Amino acid sequence: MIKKPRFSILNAGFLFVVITLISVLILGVIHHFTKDIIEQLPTYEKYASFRDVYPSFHYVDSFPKVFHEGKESIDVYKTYDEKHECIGAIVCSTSHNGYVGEIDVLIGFNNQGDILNYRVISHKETIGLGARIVNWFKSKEHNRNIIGIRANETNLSLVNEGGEIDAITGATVSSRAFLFAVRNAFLILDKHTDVLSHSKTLDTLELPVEKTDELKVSTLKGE
Amino acid sequence: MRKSENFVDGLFSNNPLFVFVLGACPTLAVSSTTFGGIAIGLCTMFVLLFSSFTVSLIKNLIPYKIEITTSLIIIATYTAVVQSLLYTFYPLLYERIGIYCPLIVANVVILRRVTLFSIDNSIFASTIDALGNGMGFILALFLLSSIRELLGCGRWFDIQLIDEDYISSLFVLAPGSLITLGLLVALFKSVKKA
Repeated sequence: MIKKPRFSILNAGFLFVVITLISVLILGVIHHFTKDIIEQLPTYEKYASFRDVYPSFHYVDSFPKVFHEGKESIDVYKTYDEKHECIGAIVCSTSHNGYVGEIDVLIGFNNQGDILNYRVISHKETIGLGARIVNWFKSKEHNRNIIGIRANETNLSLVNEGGEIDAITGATVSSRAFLFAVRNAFLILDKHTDVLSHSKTLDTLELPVEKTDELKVSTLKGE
Repeated sequence: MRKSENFVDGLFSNNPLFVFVLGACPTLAVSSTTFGGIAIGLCTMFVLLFSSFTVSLIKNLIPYKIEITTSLIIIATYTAVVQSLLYTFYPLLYERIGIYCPLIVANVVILRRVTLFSIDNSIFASTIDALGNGMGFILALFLLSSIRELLGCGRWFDIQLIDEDYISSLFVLAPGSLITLGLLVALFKSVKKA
């Protein structure tokens, strides 16, 4: 039988203070060793997403040009080749009309307006239903695919609304919201053609490809 | 009770999820994908293991009246540690688990073992007990999330195995999770009886 100490406010208070101090110490040590990696995470995630939706750029804007289309705010990052010629754009577009809330999509466009790839960077749609927007529109089956299509020659709306794209079964609201975000992204580029002009301004350029990869590696190694 | 019996007890005969239906809230919420289920199971086991060890280590210093409060501070500390490590090294997994990672602090599976067992037993016995219960919880989550992901999304560990035409979204929604858990509990009890 374990002999327990008698309870008193004094020894209870002392015990709590000691345990709390040890807890704070442990958490402080953990924070000390992880803070550098945590600071790098957003940058790494951002560039990993950029590389995913636009695989072939050499440089990309560090800061976006922000446009507004109705209530939605749209960020445009221009992409450049090795000669600093603008070769397209990565657009971060949001739709507030998802089934649960906002859907944020990153879309890569080349200068001709072709959709190179997309990545849903955040959503709260139902798993198994609306959440299928993540891959649904990349499938080659039926009329789902939007990758590789020229946005100005395709009606990016649902088939039952006069468009050319199939909705996700049982998740029409999410599909509509997703396509709304993609359509808005292209509309902005179309409206502001100067965004995709062959700009050679260097002041907005950031990490070249190799540095991005270094960043990725160092983040993964936790250096 | 022998140490090995402690382990098997938590793993099968007194499985926290299938026998006592403890920790059902995060279980039902996160088990729609196998990765999510395993992840929350591992996080819970980490917190349970270290909390049991620590509480057992200082049990002689804790007065009877403040056992639960002290245990909660220790559990909260380890939950914050696991949350921080997960966010740093596995951000995508952290995103998938979401709010249920910090909510481990309120998981009854941990509080039950720490306040009922570790507070009165040796460090070794507590560690074995925590391992058994933790692995029992992971096993239950693995079964539940595998069934739900396979029947609800046609995938297992994010690998597409069943065509999307043959799946039912019911299994990834709340009613499906309750039905699956109910069926698994019934199956587990009938196997135990047999």
